Amino acid sequence: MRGILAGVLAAFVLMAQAVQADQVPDPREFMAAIIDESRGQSSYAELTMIITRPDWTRTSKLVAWTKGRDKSLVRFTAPPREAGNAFLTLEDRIWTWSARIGRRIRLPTSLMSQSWAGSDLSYSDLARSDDRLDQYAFELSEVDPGELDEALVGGQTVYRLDAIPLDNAPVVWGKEQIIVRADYVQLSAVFFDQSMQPVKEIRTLKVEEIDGRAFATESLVEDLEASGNSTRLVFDKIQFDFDVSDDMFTTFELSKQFVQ
Amino acid sequence: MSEVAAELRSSGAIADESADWIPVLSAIAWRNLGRRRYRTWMSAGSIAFVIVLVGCGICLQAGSYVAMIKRGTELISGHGQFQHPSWLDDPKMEYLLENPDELKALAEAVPGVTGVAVRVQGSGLVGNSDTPDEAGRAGLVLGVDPESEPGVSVISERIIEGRYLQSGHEAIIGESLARSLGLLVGGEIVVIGSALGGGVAALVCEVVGIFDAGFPALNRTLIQVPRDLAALAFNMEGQAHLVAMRFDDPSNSDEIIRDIRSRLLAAGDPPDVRVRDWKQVESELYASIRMDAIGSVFIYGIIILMVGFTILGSVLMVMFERRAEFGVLMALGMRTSLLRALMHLEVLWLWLIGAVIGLLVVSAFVAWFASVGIPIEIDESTAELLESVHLDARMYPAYSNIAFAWVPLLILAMAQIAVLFGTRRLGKSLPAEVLRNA
Repeated sequence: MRGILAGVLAAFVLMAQAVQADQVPDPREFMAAIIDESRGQSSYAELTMIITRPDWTRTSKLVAWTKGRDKSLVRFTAPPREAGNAFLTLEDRIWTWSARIGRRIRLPTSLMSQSWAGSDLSYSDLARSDDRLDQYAFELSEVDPGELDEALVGGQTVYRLDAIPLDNAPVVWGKEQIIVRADYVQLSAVFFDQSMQPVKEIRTLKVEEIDGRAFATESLVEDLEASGNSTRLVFDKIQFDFDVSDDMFTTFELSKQFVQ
Repeated sequence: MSEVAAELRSSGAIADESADWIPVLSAIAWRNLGRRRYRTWMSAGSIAFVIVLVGCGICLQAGSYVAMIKRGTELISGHGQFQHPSWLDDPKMEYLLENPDELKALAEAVPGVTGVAVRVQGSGLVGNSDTPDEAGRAGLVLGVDPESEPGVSVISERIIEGRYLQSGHEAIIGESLARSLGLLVGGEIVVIGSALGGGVAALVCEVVGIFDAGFPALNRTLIQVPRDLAALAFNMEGQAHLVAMRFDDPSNSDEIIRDIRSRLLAAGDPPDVRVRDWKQVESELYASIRMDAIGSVFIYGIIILMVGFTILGSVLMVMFERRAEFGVLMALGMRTSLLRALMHLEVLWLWLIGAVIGLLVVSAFVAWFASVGIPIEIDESTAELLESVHLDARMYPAYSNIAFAWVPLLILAMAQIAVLFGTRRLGKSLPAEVLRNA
């Protein structure tokens, strides 16, 4: 699901909204509910991102603030060479800030599908996701949880949500297939290209209860076209309904000198 | 042919046993041509015409290939490259050369290599430092050595504003990129991309020059900065992606690449280095040239085949016209082998006259038009379009071994085969037949 990192955290936040369902809900309403549930939410998180390539592994530390679904600020805190580099998302606009040269650039729409910070995530994964309602047709079906990891399912009803782009939608994917619990905790998301070949998969590795909410605290993003390429995201700390000012999500704040 | 010599000796044409028979028979053949000058000039003229027709066509085509190769290799790729083995198929940042400066030194010692340039390559988001809230662009950063790069690439000659790189935090950028970012000479360009090993690569440079490469894709994306700066930013100090080379004659690239390979072997054959010529690096260009050449082989082949049949017809006509002459000669004791040798020599003389005339015309054509060019009839807007991509609205022929050696030799071979066919009917019954009809 693209929303795995919608504002890096927003998607995780909305996945954590526990809404039990006794029957298969309307697919579009199900998607809308996910989005609506996230409105007005804010969060603060500390994460570890481990990028793995056949020849090397790189571990980075990040802090992230989100407000609503369309505001987020992500800043690297480690390693020292990267510390201070930051990304600001405001609706569908993204800025990247390099602490080393003290300059920022706004990302053009045409580059949204490019790799974010050298990881297997793209900038689109950071950007807002409510436009998906207009760009996709949704199909929802119940999945036999017996085929899934019991610890991850947690006794929940599990659905498969197929998001198929509309004919004229500006979407690079041929299809997105999301396995999600009834309480909106995403268990996996597979992205298919236009020839319906799977190219990227995001899998939840660990689900924990945080502040009474189920939350995916560890995820793995795999590039299915490049063997050995993956990115693991681990939430070291997460705080919901964090009181954060709109001033946090400005280019001024983005460009602030980072102090450890 | 020893049979022919024996015949001449027995007939007294060669008095001395050791004398060579060929000059005598050649002299007779030459005299025979002189006996029917009109027919001789017509036959030689047709050979000359075909050599001129096919030769000029091939030379024009060779000239267009020279221009295509020049245009396809002069901006970036050069005529040869040292690369990581995997770079050609998948130019990923991690496919690096570990000792690029040693490879540069090796290449510089090879005869025929006129320029060597070491490069690192990275990509990223590019923006104007003064307008950070405007959307940036995707850019390709090429880290180059400002002193050696002009020896391989002509980008330094395509600067339309400012100057080429010298050192320090400088950049030259394509004119489309400059326009879209609102950058002028003296402005500051920012690059933020991915470094080797997953970090963030960041560069900020003063724009010292704006170039018009003649290729929209390069004008839109290419940024050249000093190599040490790019290597530091992209985390690949001491390494490089490419060592590009320019050769004095790209048509000689196979031989130069062989020389480089043997030196590379002598230097221990480093496992993560491949040397590739422009045919591999610019494989699409090479394929299009080959496709064009293969198509031409058919066209020129058909023309030469037509000439072959024309010569066969001429030879048969000659045989028919000279039946009486040959019959009388045979009745006087001349053997068919000697007559056949005579015909082969006559055709050889004809070919020689035609080939000399034809090749002189082709030489003059190439020599003249290679310097002044042949203007192509195009309208003004097309001419401007060609000029904008640094293409000349003229065609320049080039010397070609195929035109100057293979085509005349092929015509000679066909003419001699025609003689073989034409003289098949010089049977033993010919004298009787001729005398009966006399």
